[in-house]
Amino acid sequence: MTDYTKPLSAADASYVAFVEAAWQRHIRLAVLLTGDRLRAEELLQDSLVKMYERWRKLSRLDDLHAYLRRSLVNNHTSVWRRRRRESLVAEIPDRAMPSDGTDEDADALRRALLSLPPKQRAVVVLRHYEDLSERAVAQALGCSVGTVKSQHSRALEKLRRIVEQPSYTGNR
Amino acid sequence: MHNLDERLAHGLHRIVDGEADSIPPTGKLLERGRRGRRRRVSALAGSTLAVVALGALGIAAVAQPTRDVPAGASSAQAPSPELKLASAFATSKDLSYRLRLTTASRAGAGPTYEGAFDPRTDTGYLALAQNASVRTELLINGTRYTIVDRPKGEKYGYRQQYGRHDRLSLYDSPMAVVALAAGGGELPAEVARMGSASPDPAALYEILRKANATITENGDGSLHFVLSTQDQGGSNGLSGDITRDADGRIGKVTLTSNWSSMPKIPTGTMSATLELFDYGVDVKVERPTDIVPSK
Repeated sequence: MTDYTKPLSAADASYVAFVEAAWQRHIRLAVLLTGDRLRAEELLQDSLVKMYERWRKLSRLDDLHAYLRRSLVNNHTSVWRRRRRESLVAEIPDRAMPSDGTDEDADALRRALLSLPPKQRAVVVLRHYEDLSERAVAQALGCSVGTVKSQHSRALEKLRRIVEQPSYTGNR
Repeated sequence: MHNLDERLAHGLHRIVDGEADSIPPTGKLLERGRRGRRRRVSALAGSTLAVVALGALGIAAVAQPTRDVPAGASSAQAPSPELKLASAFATSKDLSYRLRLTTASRAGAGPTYEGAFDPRTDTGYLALAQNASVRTELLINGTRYTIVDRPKGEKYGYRQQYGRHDRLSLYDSPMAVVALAAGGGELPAEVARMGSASPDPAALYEILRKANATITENGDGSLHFVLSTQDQGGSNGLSGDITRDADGRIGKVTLTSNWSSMPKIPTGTMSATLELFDYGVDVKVERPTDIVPSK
């Protein structure tokens, strides 16, 4: 629990209140985007720190959670691109979360999800986990509804190929 | 397609539903954020000086050097009263405290409550002195026990209330204080709709936020709130002042409710003052031995 016994400025206190409300809500989204709990926490922390630096302006927004969601997606895409540039190999896959082996369907889906480029992955997660409409996904990603549709379609095509392979135990 | 959609939604939830909750590293975020902000301010100061130096070559420029803003200091634009209110409630959140609640109506002074509460452990106590008797409530890890000491020292034993409770009974009903101040009886629904005059800090903040209350700052730095409603029965108003302690936490809430043109209760006013102090106090309550189980 946060130590509130030290006095905070008004802006800091409102930021702390937001972080406490936002953390549990967005950590799972970050896990789905990164495929790894540690990277998810890093991503969420980085996004929240960036929000702190602009907090006086941001605190006037109506929907701070939507802003954070967009920030998570954008930051994750930037990190993914940077890692790819820094590496000599063509494409660095995100690390898969360690599996306990008890849920093979989920594990296979997790691997399939991580095989998608970050933007397609974000579209899939926002559509099917956050249950956002295409319009809301477009707002979250800062792109057009048409782009969301095409990215979604490509992502599903790829996922379908993977999950319909005989080795995917979910195809029963 | 439809099948894959469903499998995706289900599968994504299965991937992360088992993720353990974690505590947000708020302190670390604040430190990192402050360092980042200082870097930005320093960079801005550097570029400002560079611009001034260039300007000095041909233009008489007056530059106000940018100061490195200390951590947590307020910006040039003072926070709004709404933000100050949100901050006060956020700073007071999840801390234990002692409380004193006094009520009054046109009939005169009402009952006074004294107690302590720790929202993290759902533990506290409350003593209400009224009509020559003292009603005591104990809340221990979510279980409530009440007892009334009658005159002549007659005791009836502690009665355990049914269920689990995350608050003192004082905060159960937003209208509890209004009802007590008005004489203890049941109030008509029109009054109950009036404005949810709760002294519970967390509930009060939610009410003010949702009701879009007008928040202003008084000359002494306290925050004033006003909300009013108008319906067929008449007009109702709720106003009050929130005084913050030296650490910016909620120190005192004064609350005034008034209503007019209501059937059976033509005009009425009540007031309540809730004082919160000794934040962080260790609240420990011993379980009573003479308990009458709830039926």
